[in-house]
Formats: sequence, C-alpha cells, structure tokens
Amino acid sequence: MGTVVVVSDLSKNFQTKVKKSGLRESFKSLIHPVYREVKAVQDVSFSVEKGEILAFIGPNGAGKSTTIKMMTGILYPSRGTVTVLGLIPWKSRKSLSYKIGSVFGQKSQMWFHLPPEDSFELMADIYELDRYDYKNTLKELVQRFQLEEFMHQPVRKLSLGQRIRCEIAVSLIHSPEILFLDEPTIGLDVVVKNQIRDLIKDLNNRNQLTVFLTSHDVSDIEKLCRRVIVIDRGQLILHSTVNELKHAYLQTKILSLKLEEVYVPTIQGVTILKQKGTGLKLEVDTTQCTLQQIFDDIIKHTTIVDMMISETPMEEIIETIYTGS
Amino acid sequence: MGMKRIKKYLTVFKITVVNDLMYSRNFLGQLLFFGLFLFVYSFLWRVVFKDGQIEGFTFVKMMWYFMFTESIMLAKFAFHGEMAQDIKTGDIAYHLNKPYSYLLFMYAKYLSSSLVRMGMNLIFGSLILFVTLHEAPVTPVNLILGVLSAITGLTINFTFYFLIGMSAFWFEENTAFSFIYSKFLFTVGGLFIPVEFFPEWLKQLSDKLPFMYILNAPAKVYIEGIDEFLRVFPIQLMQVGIWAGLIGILFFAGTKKLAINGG
Repeated sequence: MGTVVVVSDLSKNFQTKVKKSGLRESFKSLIHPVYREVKAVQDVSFSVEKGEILAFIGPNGAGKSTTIKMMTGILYPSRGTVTVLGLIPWKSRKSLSYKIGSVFGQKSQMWFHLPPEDSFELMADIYELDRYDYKNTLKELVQRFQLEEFMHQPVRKLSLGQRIRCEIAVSLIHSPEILFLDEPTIGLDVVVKNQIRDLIKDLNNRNQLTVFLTSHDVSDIEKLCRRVIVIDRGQLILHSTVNELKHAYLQTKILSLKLEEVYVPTIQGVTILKQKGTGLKLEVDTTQCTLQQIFDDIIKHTTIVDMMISETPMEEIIETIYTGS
Repeated sequence: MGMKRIKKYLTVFKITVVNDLMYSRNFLGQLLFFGLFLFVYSFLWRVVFKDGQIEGFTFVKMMWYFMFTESIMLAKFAFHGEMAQDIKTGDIAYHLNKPYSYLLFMYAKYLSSSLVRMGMNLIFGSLILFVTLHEAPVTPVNLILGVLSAITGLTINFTFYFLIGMSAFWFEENTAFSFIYSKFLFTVGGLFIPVEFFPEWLKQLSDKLPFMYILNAPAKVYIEGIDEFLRVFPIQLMQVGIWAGLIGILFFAGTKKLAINGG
C-alpha cells in the first residue's frame, strides 16, 4: 500500500463579478466593477491510499470539481498543498497527466463520428506509448470491457452504456495509477450501471488501480467504496468509512409487524408510521429505546405473526448529511 | 521536440482528415455555394474588364485570383467559437490535463480540416474555370507555390482565430471580434477585390496589416509565380512568427488566469 494523494488545508478563493439587474446597473458595473470573493474550497484535508476506491461526494456547487481541478493541476490553490503520486499537480501538470486518467461522464474524449479504435490510436500517440505495449493493453481492455462488437462502429451510433465503457477503457490505455471518475454512471439504466460498477471493481482488484469517484448515485458509493468524503459549501463535512457512515446515521429503524391482535405500543422513541388492523409500521429511534424493549412490550400483550426490520436507505442518509450541513 | 511528441500532432492531423471525410457529402453544399459565387462574380468581372486590363489583371486572371482567395476563405475551419465556449464553461480543463500542447493540438486539427476543404475547393473551382474559360494563367509551379503560401496564410488566420477564441479568457462576449475580423478579410484582405485595385493610401495601409497575407498574397503567388512568392513568403513567415509569439504569451497568461481564478 502507500499514500498516493495527500491534500492538506486546501483552499481556493475566486473573484466573481457582482452585477445587479437593469441597464443602469450594467453601465455602472462597466465603469466600477464590483467583485465578490467566493470561497469555493476551504481547508480541505484528506489522503488516498494506493488501490483504494474513494467516494468524493457533495451537492451541486459544493466544490468537488474545484478540488479535482486542483488535484489534476488545472487550478492553483489559494492556500494549502496537494501531492499526487509525489508530484505537486500545478507544478508538474504534464508529468502527472501521464500517470492519471480521467473520465467525466458528461464530457466525451472520443471522436463522435469515428469508431472507438481511432480514439484509442490517438490516445496511444498522445501518451507516447510503445506500439507493442499499446497493442497488448488494447487487447486486454477490449476483452475486459467487451468492446469487440462495436470497435468499428462510429461512436455516435453506440448506446450510452457502450460509450461509457469505451470512455473508461480509453482513459486506461496508458495504464494510469489513479483514475478520476466523475459521474461515470450518469444516465445509465440499472443493468448497465451494475456492469460499469463491476468493471471498476475488477480493475481495482486486479490492477490495484486507485479510483477517485464523484457521483450523485448513492448506489455507486455503497457498492464500490470503502471510504467516503462529503464536501459541502467548500468544506469537508464528513470523512468516514461507508460502514461507519451507515452506523452513525442508522439510529432509526423501520419495524413492520403483523400481530395476532390489535396493539399499539407506547414507548418513548417509537413513532407510529402506519396502523391498519393488526398491521403496524413503526419508526424506532435506537438511541432512545432498544428493539428488545419493543418486542418485550408487544409480546406481553399479543403474539408477533410476522415482522421485517429495515434500515434507512443510503440515499436518505446522504440527504440528511447534506441538509444537516 | 522528439519524434513521439511530433507524432501525436500528426495523428491529430490524420484523424481529423478521416473525420472530415466521413461526411464528405457535407462538402457538397459548400461546393455548390462556391460554384454559385464564381458564376455570379464572372458576370460582374466580365463587365468591369470589358475594356481590357486593370492593374495588370485581365478578366481571366481575375477569375483565377478570385477562385483562389475564395478557396482559402471557405476552407478555414472556424474553431474559435467552440474554443471560446470551452473557456467560458471551463471545459478547456479537459484539454489541459492531457499531455499535449493545446495550441499545437488545435493547430493540427485546424490545418488538417482546412487543407481538406481547400483541396476540394481548388479542384472544383479549377474544373469550373477550365470548362468555362478554356484558359488558365497558372503553371504547376505556381500551383505548388500558391498552395505553400496559402498554408502559411491559413496559419496566420489560425493565430487570429486563436486570439479571438482566447479573448474569452477576458471578455464574456466575443462574437464582435469575429465579425470585425471577417469584414477585414473581405475588404483589406483582398477577398473580392485585389489590394492592387485600392487607392494608394489604402494599398499602403493593407500592406502594413496582416489580412492581405492570408488571402491576397497567396492568390497573387498563384497567378504570378516565383517572383511574387519570393517577395511575400518571407513577410508571411514573419507574420506567423509575430502572431504565434503573441498567442503563445497570451495563452500562457490566459491559462494562468484560469488557474488562479477558475473558468
């Protein structure tokens, strides 16, 4: 293992022009432009281990893209430091670009009117790959991503799922050590999403590829990542493992019961969500009462015929974090 | 620059040709438009030249001149709008995190696309003029020198397109620059009327500006040959040097601004 990314107290401030509406204000801003400082990223620190898949999430405008741009050397930070694979990105942008790959779900790096193989050829030359190495990597990627059937079809004729498979494969042609994936499953159906996730997981397992993932799809995080970083309004608001995150936010459980006779428990921490005949749906705050207490109380009065305990969906956990921040 | 470094731009050049040829039917509209232009202007120039020569130009020479300037004019791959958009939206970042020079990448793409179109325009235009005029005041040497001068002219034009695209680093709206630039090419660039027809003061002025070295100079080389080539080619190369240097400096400043203040 080893640390491949170290981000320390990273901050980025932008100056944006403030312009009020109306003709008069427009003229005024021509002569005396007023600027406002926007704190896009504030004192963000974290590190990424080799071979890790890290989720970097946050609502729109949280500062995710700005952080990634600083990590890839496109933006200079206002304060703080970043090292990626031992390089300072904004000082060694070109050198770093040979070691990292990126896929931005909404921005294609394929040539739209040409078959994927042309884009692969171009990327091989752009990354100055040895022909023999290139052919071998290509063969492996085509096989692993099952690209054979559409390697000779124009990209514009591919389905979104096929295109994303090509996008990820082409970003791996130079065997990068870190892959930045920005919304890789956006717009895909459930089956294709799972295919893409399996591929990412497989790459990570076999090649020890480090993946830095941003996604609005909570299932991506749940199924792929061990660790998650949540950023909002430029600040890091949560940094934990996905399991810790679940435990921390799983204070409430949903209890669906089928009883022999009608009974409604009155215990602190229990909210009745629904009651219909002998059917009962309860929300239990486990910090106030245990499930055992509820079962004991119910069993005293009637018999439990059937029951189901469900957890708060990850989606809601993330929503709680965002709204809570 | 090592061979591998040069090869990446050659591949961009090659892939752009392949990309353009995928939709060769799209060229048909442009060629029809070009043919119509030649047809309309042949009537105009026939009237203008009915009494003989003007500034060394005959009707036939004028038509071949016009065919050449128009071939370059219609061939220019206009990338500046897309480039400005990429700068405004921040999408230029996706180019900057790849191991190539954005300037050379765009140049390879531009030159490739423009040369394919210029080639088609020249073949089509020459065919029309051969069929209708039955004479050509040019030799194969003129053609080679004219094309060489046209490539240099297209390179000067590239630097201007790049400047216009790059203006998005500092200006929110840059369509005006593009509009003004194309009008300069129409007039002092010598697209429709050779610079030689202008009054002396305007001729002097045009000579000091870069626009005539994009259209007028290559067309003059095409119809006049080696002497004209030896006169204008060094000036064209100097122009490329000046403007390429300027865009190099400004692009560095622009990307620095982007790096400091975002898109």
